[in-house]
Amino acid sequence: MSSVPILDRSHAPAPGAIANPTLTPVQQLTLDNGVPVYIIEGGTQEVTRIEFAFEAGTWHSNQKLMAGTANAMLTEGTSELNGPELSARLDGYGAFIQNEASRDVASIALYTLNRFWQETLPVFESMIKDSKVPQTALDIYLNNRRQSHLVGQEKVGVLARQAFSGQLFGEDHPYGQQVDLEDYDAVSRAVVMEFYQKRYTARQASLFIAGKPPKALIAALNHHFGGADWIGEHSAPFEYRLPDPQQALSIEVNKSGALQSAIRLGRRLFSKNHPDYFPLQVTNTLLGGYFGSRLMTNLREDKGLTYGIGSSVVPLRHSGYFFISTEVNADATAQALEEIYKEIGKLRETSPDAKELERVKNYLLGAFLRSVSGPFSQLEQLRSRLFFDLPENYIESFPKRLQAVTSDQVQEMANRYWQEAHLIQVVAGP
Amino acid sequence: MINRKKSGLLPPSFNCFMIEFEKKTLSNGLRVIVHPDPTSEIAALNLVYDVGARDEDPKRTGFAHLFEHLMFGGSANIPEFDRPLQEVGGENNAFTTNDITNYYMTLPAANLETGFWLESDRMLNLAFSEKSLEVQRQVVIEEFKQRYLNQPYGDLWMLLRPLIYKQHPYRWPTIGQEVRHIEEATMADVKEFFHLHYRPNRAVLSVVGKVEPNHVFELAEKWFGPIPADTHYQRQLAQEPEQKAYRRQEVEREVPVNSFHLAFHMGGRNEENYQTVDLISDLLGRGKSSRLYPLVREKQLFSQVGAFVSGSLDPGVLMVSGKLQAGVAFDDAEKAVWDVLHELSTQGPNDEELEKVINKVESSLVFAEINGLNKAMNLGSFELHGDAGDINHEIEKYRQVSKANIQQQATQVLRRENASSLWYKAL
Repeated sequence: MSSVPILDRSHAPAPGAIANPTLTPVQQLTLDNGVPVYIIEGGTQEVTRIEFAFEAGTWHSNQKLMAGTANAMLTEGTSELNGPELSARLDGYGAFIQNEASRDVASIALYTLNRFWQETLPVFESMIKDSKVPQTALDIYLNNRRQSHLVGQEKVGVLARQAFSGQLFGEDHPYGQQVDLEDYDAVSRAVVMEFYQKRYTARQASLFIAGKPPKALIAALNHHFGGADWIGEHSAPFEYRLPDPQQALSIEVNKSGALQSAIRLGRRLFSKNHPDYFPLQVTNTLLGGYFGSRLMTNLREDKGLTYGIGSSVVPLRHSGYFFISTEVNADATAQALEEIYKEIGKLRETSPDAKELERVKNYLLGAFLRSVSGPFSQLEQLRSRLFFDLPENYIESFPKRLQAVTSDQVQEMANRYWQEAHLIQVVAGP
Repeated sequence: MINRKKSGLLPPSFNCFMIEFEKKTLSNGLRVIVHPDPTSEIAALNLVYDVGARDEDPKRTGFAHLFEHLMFGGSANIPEFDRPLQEVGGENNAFTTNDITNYYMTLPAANLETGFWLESDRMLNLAFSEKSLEVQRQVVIEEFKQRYLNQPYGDLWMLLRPLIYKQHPYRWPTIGQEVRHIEEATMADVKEFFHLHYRPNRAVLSVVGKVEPNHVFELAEKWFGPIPADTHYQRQLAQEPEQKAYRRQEVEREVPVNSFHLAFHMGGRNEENYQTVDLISDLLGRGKSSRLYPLVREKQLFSQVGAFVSGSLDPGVLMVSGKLQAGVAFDDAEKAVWDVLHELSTQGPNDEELEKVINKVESSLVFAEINGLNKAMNLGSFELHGDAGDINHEIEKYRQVSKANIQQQATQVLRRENASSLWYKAL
């Protein structure tokens, strides 16, 4: 037997070369009524995800709560089946529905086993094209939302978030809109129906399919969704005015009896197609975007001030923002704020050393690989690329764009966007 | 389940579907499971230890979870755990439940060995740094506040557990019974806990992704092989005596809405009737076509209501939970729930209804298998508590449940003497 070499545990094994992922080509087609369809085939399971995205977000309504309500009502009743019956029908075939409305867009997805698509697809079709918004279901939904709203008002994190977005975008803007209890009373079946009929139409739709869709399913799409029956009308674009760029401001929201304070700090920025978006995203990762970030290392791992702290650069279709958020022991609020400003200041004053930037890049490269692993994840990336109107090679060029970011550029980003004179600070706590 | 970095990332479900795997046991008892998936450039590496909050001393609760945090504070030869992993494009986290402590990572398959290096070094020995203990103690105390004390309904399980369990260590939550226990933890406790529980013979390593089983076994031998086994720990947990009488607790809190909870004792995860009782919870409370939903829609007693099982290894609970509509009395709400339960016990389910919930279980298994990390976790759990191969028989067990089984178990479990009711009242 040959002798076993002594194991060197103090040095990391040599890293392997991380292969660039091979992305599945996107198949594209257009239904007879103009709905664009994007298909990514792959995976090992005999399942398919069929997802519609509609121009039916908060952006697309002048009335509060409309986007979320109309979207939630899709599963609540058609002319043939009520909510429980729709649910029973899909459950019986082991299918799932996932629906949500965001500020810019609304979506509804069907996850189906391939062997049952002929049974589940018509149910899905009826939800989208024949939603009846039953009064009972609407009342239940609004009641639940009222309750969640009340629960939310007890949470310092929610209070801080509300005050922050209201300040950033203005309360009249869909991105900054504040919901009060009486807003729930203003939602009637008639206005939800009106919004639904305008926004959940072929003209406002894109269709995304991932998994292993059977050929017959693709062939049947036109039959179910390609007709003129739900084509809808053209609609004028919505216009909103953003408040003027802001100067530093400190807001306090009182929540008596709270044990912790929620801190939220940041500013309004830009959408994903801005040339600084990507380098700023890398800069943000270094500051607070991953577990090894400077904020996490300082406030949590070194000082134990919080369970967690993070920062994000969030793109919206028509704007975007940067924010840092954390919850800390109420007595430690001042210390936490001081450390946060110190970390931002350090980034403005000194460019990060090569080793730290390399680590951030490697982390982001791994995160990128995870984000394109499998057909469902790739579809998410594709949706985002189309939504933000980014170049066709945007996804696959990620490693190259990442490599191009330099230490000096990181410092430049911090100086350009993270001057204290422009940061809005919110503290919600006792 | 509570998570080191953030909550609710991936529940430790036991769901899976036909998964082919290879298995090897090292001479120190570490079990290694490999499921090659050539389509995934990202490898998932999961290491589950057979220790959870149920193994804690009643005077030092919250320790398994605090300890999980300390596992990131540096090991014998590696000062920092996260950094070298981030340097090769990896990401990791961990969670603790009342039954297990689970560490997981995903990283480019080309860098799999880095994962073995890191995980094996902290199994070999920890650095036991005083600073790490002091800092993580504070982090966990802030977590305690953020998630359990400073949230509406945050103390729910701190009330429910001791109501349901009088003897068994499930009577305290994973975060710990009180902040004081975490404040009082000493380095001596930390060391003792490590040497007792964090041994290769008390763990399962599972790997999923673009990997060769033999290569994985070689890496396992190289990095984990030299770590000695230890067989000192004999689990002797207080068993929960049979509940003889209905229990009720009423509390008042600063919350906006009344909340109702009704818990029933049931068997553990590996017991014969587990799948049957799991299906009972689905029949009662999974989705809008379930039996409890008319209490929302037609009777308008609840704004939301559901049912689930805890899925714990030792005897667990079936729980019915709901939020009351404004103006509804707890008595009326509870009575309506009991009517639904009695109807299932006395008449059993119909064919279509049973078929529906079984199909839903099956499709959940199929969809869960899309995620490589899920597969790695599930293989690890099944192996730790029996045999990884059981993962492939799970759906059969559900398919075999009959209407008569359902009715029999409903009668057995959904009894008044077996129930604990919590009325969580809004002030």
